[in-house]
Amino acid sequence: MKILVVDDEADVQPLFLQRFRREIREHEFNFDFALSGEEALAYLHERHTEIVLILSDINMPGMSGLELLSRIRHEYDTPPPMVMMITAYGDEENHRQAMDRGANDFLTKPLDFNLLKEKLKTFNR
Amino acid sequence: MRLCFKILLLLLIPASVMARGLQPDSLAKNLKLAKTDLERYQVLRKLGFYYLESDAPRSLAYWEQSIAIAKANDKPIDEAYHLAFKGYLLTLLGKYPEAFKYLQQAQTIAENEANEGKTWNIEHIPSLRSNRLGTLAQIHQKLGILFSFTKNNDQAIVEYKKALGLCEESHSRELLGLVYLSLATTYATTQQYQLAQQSYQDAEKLFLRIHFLQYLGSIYAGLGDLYQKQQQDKLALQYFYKAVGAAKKGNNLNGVRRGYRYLSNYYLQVKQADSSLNYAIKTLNVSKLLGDKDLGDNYETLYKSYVLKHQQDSAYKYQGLALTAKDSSFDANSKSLADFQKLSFDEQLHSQQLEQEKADIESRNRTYFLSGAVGVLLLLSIVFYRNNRQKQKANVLLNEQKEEIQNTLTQLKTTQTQLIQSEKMASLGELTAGIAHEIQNPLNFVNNFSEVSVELLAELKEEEEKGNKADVIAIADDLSQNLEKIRHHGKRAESIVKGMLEHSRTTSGQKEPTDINQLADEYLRIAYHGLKAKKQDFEAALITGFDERLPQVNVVPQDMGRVLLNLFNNAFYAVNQKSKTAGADYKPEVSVSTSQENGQVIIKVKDNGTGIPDAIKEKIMQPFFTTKPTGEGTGLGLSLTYDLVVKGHEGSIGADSTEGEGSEFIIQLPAS
Repeated sequence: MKILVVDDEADVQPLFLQRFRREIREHEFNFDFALSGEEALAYLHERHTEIVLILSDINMPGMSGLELLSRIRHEYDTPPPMVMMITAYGDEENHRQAMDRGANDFLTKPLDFNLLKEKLKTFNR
Repeated sequence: MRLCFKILLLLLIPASVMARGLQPDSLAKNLKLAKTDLERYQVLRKLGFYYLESDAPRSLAYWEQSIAIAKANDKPIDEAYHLAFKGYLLTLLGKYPEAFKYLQQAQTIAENEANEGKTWNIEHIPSLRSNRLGTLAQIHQKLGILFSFTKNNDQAIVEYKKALGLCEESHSRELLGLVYLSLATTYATTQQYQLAQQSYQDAEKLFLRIHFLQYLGSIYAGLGDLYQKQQQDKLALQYFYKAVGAAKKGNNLNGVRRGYRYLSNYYLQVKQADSSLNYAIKTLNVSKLLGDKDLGDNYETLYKSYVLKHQQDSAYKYQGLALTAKDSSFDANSKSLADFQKLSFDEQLHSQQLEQEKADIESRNRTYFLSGAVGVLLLLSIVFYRNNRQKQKANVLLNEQKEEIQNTLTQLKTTQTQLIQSEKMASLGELTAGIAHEIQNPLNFVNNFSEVSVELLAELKEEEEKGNKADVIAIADDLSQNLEKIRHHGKRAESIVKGMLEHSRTTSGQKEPTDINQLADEYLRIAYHGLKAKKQDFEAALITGFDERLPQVNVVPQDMGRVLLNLFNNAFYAVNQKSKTAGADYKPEVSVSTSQENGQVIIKVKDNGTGIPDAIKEKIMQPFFTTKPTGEGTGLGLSLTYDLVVKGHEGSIGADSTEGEGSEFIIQLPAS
């Protein structure tokens, strides 16, 4: 399962690679990364069929995660990728908006990678 | 001495009477014919003057009648005038105490201004006042003569001087001349020859000017006497002869006799017995003609003349006569003098009593006055005291008010400081969420990288046991990379916390070379996340345009951070406000750019928000000015920004804004 992680923090990339080291090695998950919403859209524009799941931060400079979500839901509905929103501001308003815009799930930072693994594995099945 | 007294007699004959030369027989007839008191008075007056120098008792009788008539007709001035002559005659008769009594009576009357004008003698006078003062002058002259007779020469001079002043005031020129003459005689008696000569000459000058020649003889006789005393015998002799001539011309028998006496004495002195005897006999004859009863001096001159001629019989005869005459005269004089001295002593006592009473009254008055003055002073003191107290009260009140105001000012200053601090804290509060976000991320990395490193270590052991050396090395590389990440994010969190602390610090820090680009970027993010924390749906494009070659600038980082933070906050607030009303096409943008120009580092913070209305552009830098709803803004943000840039960093700050389109704030700082 190919997963696109969108976060403006570059260090998210080595962290995911190490956290999912075992799953990557066993080809259970495959990760790609984008540092902004714009970059994510460009990536999807070329390889949207490869991507099964998108993990996106909400608070990013430029295009926010919520806007990215709307764009994805607007532009790529066949097949619709799974989108999970991650935010540091784990409040109701963000959650409601994310759900309204078609997010499949909502996670708050700090990320519980075990919980995330479980969810990803559930999606994978 | 006797000589001098006699001389004085000459001075008292009123010129008018002498000039008219009326005969006593016709006067007596007139007295019988007189029908009115006035007529009788006038005749009596003339008779009194007529006998004044020749028959004192007779003259006195006439004066007493005229005094009674004047009194009965309420003519006090005339009464006083005639009383003066009564006193004079009594003086001549040696009755000094009586003389003094009447002269005092006269003085009292004449000094009373109420009596002014009560006189028959209203013709030929300049004014009623001068009439009264002239009378008073007569009285003082007579008093002077009395004192001269009783050897009180000093007092005599005092009286003459009073008379002088009064004469001048009342324009009594004849009397003035006579007073000069009296004064000169007294000066001669008291051996003040200079003054005597001056007074004789004053009298002479005056008499010649007003052509009053009656007493010129007396003046010349007096001057001759003075010259003789100064050993100018020739000149003296000339004047004695001149005196006799003038006296004869002036129809003045007294003067003639006086001249003869001086001549006889003169010749006696120069031992010319015949001439001396000649004039001595002439003197005696004139004296008898004048009815003079005190002939002692005459007899003595004769006695001495006969001694000089060696005619012992005649000498012896006149010696006896002289002694007898002098003795009786001396006795009478002595008694009278003693009486007078007693009287004047009593008078002195009386006047002392009067003085004492007067002093008592004055003292009493003074006491009253002083009491009054003290009362007034007391009153004034009370008034001043009250004023002072009121002033003090006012001062106390003023001081209290001053203190209150100062307290208020201090409170205001404290409040202002607190407000500034709370403005900082408020903006800090706004930022807490943003900062939390900024800290949360590195903390998450720290936690995650350390957790994953623990897992990697376990894996490392497994691979080591398996002998997979390549994997062991790969894992070890990851581990060292992770540790580096942990350190990096730890530092990142640390710098954020540090910045936050610096931000909240009230005291300003030190200037240090600072990377403005980094500072601006950091605070842009802090401001953005701060707003995001409150309004999650807020979106804005953050655009940075940093000049990579920008030199480091010497600033206080936390202060410049505040400046940028304020500007960013405002920019985000403006775009957020606009996004509420603008359509879906509106893309909020906040940009920051740096550049350098002419040694100035320029920072521009731009937004496409609501803009600033022209009306308030002038006010935006003023303290407490805010467009935010009450309670949301302190109005100190831009004011502090202005102070920090302009006062803290010698920079400048300007705004360029169009309402509805956005604003741009431009900061210029001197490049260090």
